[in-house]
Amino acid sequence: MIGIDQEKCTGCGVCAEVCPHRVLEVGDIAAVVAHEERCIECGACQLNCPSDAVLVTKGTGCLIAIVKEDILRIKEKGCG
Amino acid sequence: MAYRDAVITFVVLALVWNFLRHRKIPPPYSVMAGGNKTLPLRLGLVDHVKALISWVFLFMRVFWVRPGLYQIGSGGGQSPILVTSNNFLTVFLLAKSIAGRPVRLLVLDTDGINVWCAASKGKFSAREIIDKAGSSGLVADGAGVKIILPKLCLSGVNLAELRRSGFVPVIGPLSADQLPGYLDRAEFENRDEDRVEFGLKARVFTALPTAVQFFLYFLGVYVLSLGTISQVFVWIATGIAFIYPVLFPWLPGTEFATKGISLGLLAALAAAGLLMAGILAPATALVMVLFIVATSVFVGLSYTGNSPISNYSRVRKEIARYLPVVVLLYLLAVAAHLALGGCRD
Repeated sequence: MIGIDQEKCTGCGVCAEVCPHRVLEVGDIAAVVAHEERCIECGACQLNCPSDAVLVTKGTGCLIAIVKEDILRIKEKGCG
Repeated sequence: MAYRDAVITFVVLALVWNFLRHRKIPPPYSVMAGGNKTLPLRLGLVDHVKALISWVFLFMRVFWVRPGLYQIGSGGGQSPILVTSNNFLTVFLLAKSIAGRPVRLLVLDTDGINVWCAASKGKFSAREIIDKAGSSGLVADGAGVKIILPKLCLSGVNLAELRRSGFVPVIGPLSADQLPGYLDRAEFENRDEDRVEFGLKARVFTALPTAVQFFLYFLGVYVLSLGTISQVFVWIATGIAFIYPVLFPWLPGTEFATKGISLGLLAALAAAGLLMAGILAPATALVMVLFIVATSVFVGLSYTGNSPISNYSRVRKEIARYLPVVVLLYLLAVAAHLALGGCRD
């Protein structure tokens, strides 16, 4: 899940620049989620947002990672 | 392949992999991390062989590159700086694509993990870049050093943190093959318009490693079963794992698992055809169909990690919905196999 806090967003556009799937676009005054279906929830936008305006459920979309990290909890977050 | 051969193959592969994965094997041309000089990075026959092995075992991290600063071509301290992970195949492909061009390669210590996964894990970060640049003598070049970042590292790299440390980060291309054209331009602009593509070439690139991954999984199951299941299952699973990535966009379904179901049903239809033709016995056909559908869905779920388009929230839902189905189908296949006595060699 990804969303933009329209009140915090300054429309600087860094979130759109760093997104590997071009999910976000910069509107007239703030960024908008233009292609939510493409989002892989990598968190690049959230990490680089200077206004803390991006809300994303960051995680690795991978069976093995989710089983190890979320279900069995035998590994720390992040793939590899 | 007799059972004894399978056991030997499995044990040898396990030993080799275990040996390799615990070694950060330095390439013969590597520069010691922490040094303040650059050395040329050359690619020889050994590197090509290691790259081939790294590709076949793409998801197992068998070779690593020693972190540090590498010089490619001439140009010395004036050449542009690319940052990358110490995954062997990544460095190899980068060096190959920019051979002859004056470039410095800052290889971070990401434990051999590729750029994207290392960024997710926090190993490819602004802090790691700053530290490695410092220990490699790069910072001595002064503030305002322009560094070209792979776009896929940005889930772990905070650009503002780099700027605060005096660097000028530039968002570079997504893949190595885009670099030559990019570097030919004097001004390195941000490639923020680039988007990850998952075309046939990228999928074929993952097809063989995915097949090898599943071959090893099911070879392990075959060995652990003491040869009581048919080795045919090992090859069926390997085949499904190879075909799935290639056919991915054309398989009916919107989820990884439902695409697996589609492929499984297609293969199951083939098994039914063999039954009708009298080539397969009914018991064997039943076990085959259950196994094929279960494995196709399992491959689909597993392929989420091998593709660049999976989404954490959606994969979690898919796992909750389909993993129990996979387990159930495998249990039914085993039960049918034991009850009907089918599928022995």
